[in-house]
Formats: sequence, C-alpha cells, structure tokens
Amino acid sequence: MNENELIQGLITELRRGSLTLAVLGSLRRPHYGYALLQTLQELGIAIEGNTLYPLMRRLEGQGLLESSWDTAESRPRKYYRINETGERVFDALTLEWKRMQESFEAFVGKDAGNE
Amino acid sequence: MERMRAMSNLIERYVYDVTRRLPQADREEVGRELRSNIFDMLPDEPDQGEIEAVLLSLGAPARLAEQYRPRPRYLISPAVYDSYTKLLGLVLPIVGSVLMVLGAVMGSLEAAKLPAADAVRVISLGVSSGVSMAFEGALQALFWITLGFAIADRYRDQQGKTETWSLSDLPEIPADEASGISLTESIVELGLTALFGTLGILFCLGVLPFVFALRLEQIQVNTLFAPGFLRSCVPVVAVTAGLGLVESALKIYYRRWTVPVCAGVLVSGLANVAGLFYLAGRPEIFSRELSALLDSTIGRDLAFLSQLGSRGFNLLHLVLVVVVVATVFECASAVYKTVKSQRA
Repeated sequence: MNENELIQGLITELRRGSLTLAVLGSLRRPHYGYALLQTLQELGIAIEGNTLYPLMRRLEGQGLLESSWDTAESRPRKYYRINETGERVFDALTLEWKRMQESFEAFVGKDAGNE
Repeated sequence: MERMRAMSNLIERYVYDVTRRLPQADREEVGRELRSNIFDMLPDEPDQGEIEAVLLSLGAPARLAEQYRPRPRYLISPAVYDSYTKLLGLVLPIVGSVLMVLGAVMGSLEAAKLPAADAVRVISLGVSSGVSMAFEGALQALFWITLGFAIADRYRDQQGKTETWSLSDLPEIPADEASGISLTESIVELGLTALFGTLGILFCLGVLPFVFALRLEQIQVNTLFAPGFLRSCVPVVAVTAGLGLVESALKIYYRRWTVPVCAGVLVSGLANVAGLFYLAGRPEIFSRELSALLDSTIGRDLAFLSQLGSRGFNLLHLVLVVVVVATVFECASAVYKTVKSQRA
C-alpha cells in the first residue's frame, strides 16, 4: 500500500463517525435517500450512495430514525426523519464532537508551539 | 420500447443481485428502496450509459449487500478462528498419519493375497490405499471440526453470549526459543515414524518382499533373518512405533517442553532400548543358511562374525551400547529442557 492509499484509507476511517452526525443532523427535516445525498454533497461532505443508503437503514434499525413511503408522486419514495431518540443521541454526539474538537485543537496548538 | 425494457432489466438485475444476498425478511423493503434511489439518481429519460454509470457508482452488488446486512456473516467468527486453525493443525496431521498407516497395511495385506502378487504391486497398492484413506480421513476431520465450530458459534450468537475472560486465562510466556518445539520437525517426525513403522511391520510379516542374496564361493544365501526372529519383531516394531507416534503427537500438541512431552520421550526411548535388548536376546537372529555359510567360508580370522547373536561381547553388543548411550543422551536432554522450561 503506498502512502496515498494509506492516507485515503485513514481519511475514510476519520469520516466514518462524522457521517452519522451529519445524517442525523440533516434529517431534522425529512429527506429521501437521493435528496439527502445531494444535500450532504452540497455541504461539502464527501459521501457516496452506497454508503448513505445502508447507513440510513441502519440508523432506522437502531431506533434513531422513522420512515414512511410517499406514494403520492409518480414514483414512490421512502422518506426518513429523526425521531425523539435520534434527537437525544444527536445532542450527545454533538457534545462529544465539540469536546474532541477542543482536545484536538489543544493538541495541534501544542505541537505547533513546539515546532 | 425494447431499449427501455433492456435498461429496466439491467436495474432489476442489479437490485436482484443485491437483495438475494440479504435475509428473506429484508429483501422486499431493501429492493423497493434501492430501486427508488436508483431511479432518483437517473434523469427522466436515461440512456444506457447513464444507467450503467449509476449502477457502477453504487459498486459491486456483493459489497453493497454487505453494507445492508444487519450483522457480518461468516462461517467461523474471528473470535474463535485461532482456536479453529490450531485444532485443525493438531488433528489433521495425526488423523492423516494414522489412517495412512492403517490404509497401507490393509492395502498391502489385500495385495499380498492376490495370485500375481509381487513387490511392486504390494507397495503400489499399499501406498495408494494409505494415501486415499489418509486423504478421506483428513477431509472427514476437516468437515466435522468446521461443522462443530460453526454450530457452537451460532449457538453462542443465539444465546447472546459475549466473550468473557479473566486474568487467569492468560497463558504463560515461553521462556525462550529453546523451550519451544518446532511444529514442522514434529510433523515430519510423526510422518517418518508412521512410514517406517508401517514398512517395518510389513517386512516382518513377509508381506513386503525383501530381496537378499549373498554369494560366497558358489554358495548363495537368500534369506537374511530367521523366520522366528521376524515374527517376534512384529509386536516390538508395533509398540515402539506406536509410542513414537504418541511422542510426536504430544510434541505437536504442546509445542514446548512440558512434563507430558518429556514423559513421552522417556517412555518411547526406554521402549526402543527394551525392544532392542529383547530382540538381541533372541536365540536365532540370522537365518541358518547364512550362519552356516559364515561359519564354513569365512574362517577363524573373521570368526567374530559368526558370534553374532551368541553370548560374550561382540559386534551386536557394541550396537546395543551405542543405542543405549544415544537414548540416555536423548532422555537426559529432554529432562534438562523440561526442567529449564518449567523453571522459566
């Protein structure tokens, strides 16, 4: 594995946890799969359909999202939105994210001071 | 219309290839959702290239199905995989070696009964029978061990048991490399013991023809050992080979010098020496015609040769002394290594 492949792999690992936070936060407003994909990509979050669609289903299985089929339009679509449990989990994850960010900034700042 | 049908068929085939890998209960819902997402990713009137691009962007169906699966799917879980491979590494060589011996003996005995039996036929049938029994036995062992682990794993999952361990489960660290026993050497030792034990038994039973011819001054002798001596060799060879197999099996199992391994080496070594002394004490080792030939043709200068198998210090006693010394050395080395390993 060359250095570039190693970096890409580690970036994927870094993103994995943050994607859940992004998806939960975005689903405060109902979205169907492809619409959420576009929303996240517009926000600059690099994510592919083969990652997002199973993630949404998994979060629903974990009891954090609710879903319903909209058959009113020409093509039926499955809409997801965050539920109460999901809101509480999102708040807890956001708090942890902020703590990690502060720790990391302190770490980076400490290293920068030593250079 | 045909074109639309073909393009729709491609999407359906993709959705099918993803959902067929999922639990039955999830297939319909996932398929419906995936189909909806794919059509959302396409323009209103997509062409073949656009459909292919979207399907390729979703990735291989097997990979996508893995993402949708509620739990990872494997036959033997990573938690017990090490134990599984370790058990296979122990059982397969033992089963293969034992069945190779049994198969070779049975095949050779069957071949010897045939009207046109000769050495080549006996050996070839013995080898082929041994190899096929060893292979079949090893496959059976592989199947049953794999099945056992797979069932135990599923049972553990269903019970919802999580891995628990305590500090007392931690193994002792081997002191150094000297206390370890090479697995390769032990397996080779096992195989060679099985092979030569089998050949020895077949030779003593007279199943494996041994061509011997000694010609001195117009007299030819065609038998080396006395028949009675060969018959008495059979149990000795069987016991010493069996104890040798046990010694090798213990070495393979423990992989270091422990008390059971040391005991195996001592018992096997003592059995070898005892067996040799027993055979050396037999009244007649060599065939009468060979003994008579040596007596009559070699003469007094080489009279010591005619004393082989009789009382008094002679060449045979020298061989026994060498074997005893070598065995004592081997046993002492095993004891030393075991004590050193236990103290570490």
